[in-house]
Amino acid sequence: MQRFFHDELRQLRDDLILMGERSIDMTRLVMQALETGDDKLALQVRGMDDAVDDLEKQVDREIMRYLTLFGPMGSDVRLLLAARDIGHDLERIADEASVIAKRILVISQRGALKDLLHVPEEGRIAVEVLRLALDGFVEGDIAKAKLVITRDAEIDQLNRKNYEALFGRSGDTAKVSASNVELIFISKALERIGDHSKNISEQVIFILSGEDIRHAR
Amino acid sequence: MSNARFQARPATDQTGRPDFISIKNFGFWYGDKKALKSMSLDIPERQVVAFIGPSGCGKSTLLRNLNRMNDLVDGIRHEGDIEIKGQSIYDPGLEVISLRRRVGMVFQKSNPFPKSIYENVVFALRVMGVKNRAVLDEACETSLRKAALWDEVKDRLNDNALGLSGGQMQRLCIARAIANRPEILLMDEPCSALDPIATGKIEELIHELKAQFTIVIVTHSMQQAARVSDRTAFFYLGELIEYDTTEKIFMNPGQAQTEAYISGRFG
Repeated sequence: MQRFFHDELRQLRDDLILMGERSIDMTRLVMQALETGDDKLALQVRGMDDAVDDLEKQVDREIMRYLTLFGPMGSDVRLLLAARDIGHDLERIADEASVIAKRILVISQRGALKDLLHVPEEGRIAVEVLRLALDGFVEGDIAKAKLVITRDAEIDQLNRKNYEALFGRSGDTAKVSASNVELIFISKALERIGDHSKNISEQVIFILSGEDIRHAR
Repeated sequence: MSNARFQARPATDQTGRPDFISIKNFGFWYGDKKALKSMSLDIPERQVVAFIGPSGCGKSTLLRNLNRMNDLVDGIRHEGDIEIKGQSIYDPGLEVISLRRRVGMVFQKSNPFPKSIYENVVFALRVMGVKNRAVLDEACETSLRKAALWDEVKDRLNDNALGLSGGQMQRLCIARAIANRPEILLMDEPCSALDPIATGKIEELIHELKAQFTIVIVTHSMQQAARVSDRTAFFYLGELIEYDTTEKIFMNPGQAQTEAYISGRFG
C-alpha cells in the first residue's frame, strides 16, 4: 500500500538528485573555466555554492522530519541514513568546485599557465565518475555504483602523475611556480571529488543491498 | 427543533486559517473530581488535530465535550466555553442534536447497527425523515466513497454490516458519520482495535477527509499522531501541557514533560 507520506521520500530523493546535478554542473563548469581561462565563469561557479549548501540543510530537515514523524522501516531507513551522508558528500563536492574556482582566479592574477598537466583529463574523469555515482543512485544500479569505485582509482593515478610531473619523485619544490602550486591544489580537489563520488556509491550499495562496504580492507 | 447555524468569525491562527473550534478557559468536573484543568486552544478549519497523553490525562474527556457527549453523564459541570465558528456550544438557543449533527463521532470500537450496510449509512437521514430513495442512494454511495469503502461493498449493500471485517466496520462507521454531513469529525482511538493494514487505510482516509472536515483524533499511538495530524496537543493529569504543530511537538517540543513523554522517558 502506498501511503501519503511516501511522497515526502520522493521529495527527499528529488532534492538529492537536484544537489547532485548542481554539483556536477559546478565541477563541469569550473573545469571549463580552467581550460579556457574564463574568470567570469569561475566567479559564476563560486556563486553557485550557496544553493547547494541550502539544499543540504533542506535535505537534513526532510530526513529528520521523516524519521521523527513517519516511523520508517527497512529500505526506507537505509535510504534516510544514506541520504544524510550523500547530501554531505555532494555539499563537499560543491565546496571543492568552489575552491577550484578560487584557485583559478589566483592563477589568473599570477599569469596563465601554459601547461595544465593531466588536470583537464582528471577533471573530465571526475565529472564522469560523479555522473556515474548519481546515475547509480537515481537508477538504483549497483553495477554503476561499483564502477565508480574502480574508476576513482583513475583519478587518484592522475593526481599522482600531476604531483610527480611538478615535483619529481624527489619532491623538490624549489623550482615550482606559485601558479603551479595552485594547479596541484586543483588536482588534489579533483581527487577529493573522486573520493566523495566513491563515498556516494558506497551509500548507494548500502541502500540497495544493506551491505556496508566502507573502509574495506 | 432549533436550526441555529454556527456563525463564522474572523479570528485566524498562525497558518492564516480561521479558528474553527475555540476552547476558552475550559475546565471540567465529574462530580467532585476535576478532570480538566482550565485550558485554551484553537483548532483551525480543515486540519487534523491529535490529542495525546497517558491514560486518564483528559484527552477523551475533552474530545467528548466537543459535541457535548459528556452531557449524558450524571454530575458533570464545566467552566469556560467551547465555540464552533464563534458560537458557544452551550448557547441555550442551540439544540444539542443540531450540534451533534455537525460534530460527528467515530468511536474506539466500531459499532455498526445490526442492519444492512446500506441502512447503517443512511440511518441518520432516515431518522431526520428523509424518505426519497434517490436521495438516500446518493448519500449512501457518496459517503461510502468518501470512506474508501464503496469499491469493497458496492455489490453487497444489503448484506448485514456485522459480516464486515473490523477495518471495514470502522470505515462504515466513518461513512455513517459522514452521511450526516458534519463539519467536524471526532475520532476516539479509531484504530486501536485494528491491524496495521486496516490502520493504514483509516489513516489514509483521515488524510483525505481533512480536505473537507475538521478532524480531532484521540490516540494512544504517538506514531499515529505524528503521521496523520497537523497539530498535536499533549495532556497530562487533566492539564494541557503543550499544543503546537505536530512537527514542533515531535521534533523539538517546548516542554520537558512533552519531551519525556514522546521519547518514552515518562514516569
